[in-house]
Amino acid sequence: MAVRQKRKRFEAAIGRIAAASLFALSLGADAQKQRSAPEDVAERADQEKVPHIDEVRDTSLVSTIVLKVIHPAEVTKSIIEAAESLGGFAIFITDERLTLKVPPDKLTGLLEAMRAQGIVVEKTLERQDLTARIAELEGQLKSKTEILRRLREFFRDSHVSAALSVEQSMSALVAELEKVKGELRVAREQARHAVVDISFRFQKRDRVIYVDSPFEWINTVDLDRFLREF
Amino acid sequence: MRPRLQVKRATGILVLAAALCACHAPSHSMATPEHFEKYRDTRELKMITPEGVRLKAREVENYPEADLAFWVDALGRHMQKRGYVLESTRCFDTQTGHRGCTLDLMLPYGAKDWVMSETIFVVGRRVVLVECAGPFSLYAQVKDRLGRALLTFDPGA
Repeated sequence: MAVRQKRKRFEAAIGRIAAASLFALSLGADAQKQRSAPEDVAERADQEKVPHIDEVRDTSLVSTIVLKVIHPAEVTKSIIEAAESLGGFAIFITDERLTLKVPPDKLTGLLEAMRAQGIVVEKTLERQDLTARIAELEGQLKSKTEILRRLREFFRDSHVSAALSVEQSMSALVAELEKVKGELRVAREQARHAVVDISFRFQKRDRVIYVDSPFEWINTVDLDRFLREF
Repeated sequence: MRPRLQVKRATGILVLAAALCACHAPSHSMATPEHFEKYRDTRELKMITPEGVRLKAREVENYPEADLAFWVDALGRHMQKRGYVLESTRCFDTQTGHRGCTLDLMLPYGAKDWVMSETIFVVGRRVVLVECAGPFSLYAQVKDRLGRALLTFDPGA
């Protein structure tokens, strides 16, 4: 009798713990929902405000530029102002480098503004289509959310030992969901802003290589030789 | 009599050789750009600014004989293959009617990025080069003055 009572008390305690865990989980999820809801609204509003460079595809654009200027500090200030007027912002500033983010459709405008500031001696543009990745992440998010919803139903109807295992699965799933949400947020951010990395100096210091020209005098044109024989 | 004649002959040959050398010495000339100082102890056209931007003219054989466009193209391609960045090419006519082209080439050198400017004139069997080099920030300050001075360049006969 006493053993049965003890067992009942133990089951009741486990039930209360499980219920509390579920309550905490759902609270966390709701809080996340509440937190992300305004962000989503803002994100959607931003996406409506900033038309994509390609209306259908989500594309990440990264441009690397070597810009030669006489006064880097003044030019840095001026480029940041130009980027801000185009809806962009600076994310990294040093004496020799400047990294900016701008809406993809404003990238050309920013590059033109930079050209007026100095000499663009090197320029690369890397373009990556993120549409498939974003679709994949959205799919994962949807399916995992659906599984979580079903697990909650199982949890409600299951006895104590099953509830514990369901709860473990739910915790793992919530972690996976958060990871997917994070990756999705990063991918969407990459598609929403083009990154412009400006360097006021050559990045590679060992760029001069020795190759022979079939024209003899052309082989004598060299900065080292010029300085040595001056 | 005989030794004196030999001495006279030798002197004559020396004078002739010296005259020939003088004729062959480069006789390039150009107005000194503002901020530059000319080296006066040499027949070469050689100048420098207080900050160290250097300018010197020299000439090489136009071999195989080709025109200005050919050499500008060949030099630009070669320097880019070597890793220099061809920033600009601009061509002009000097006041003496010679056509010249300036290639501005950039490269990292030591702790700074440098510009090496190579101006080419093709004069018959000669290619005359006016070379100027300095750190980018210093060269950029004298670039326009140099461009104006190059309009007065005379590659000589």
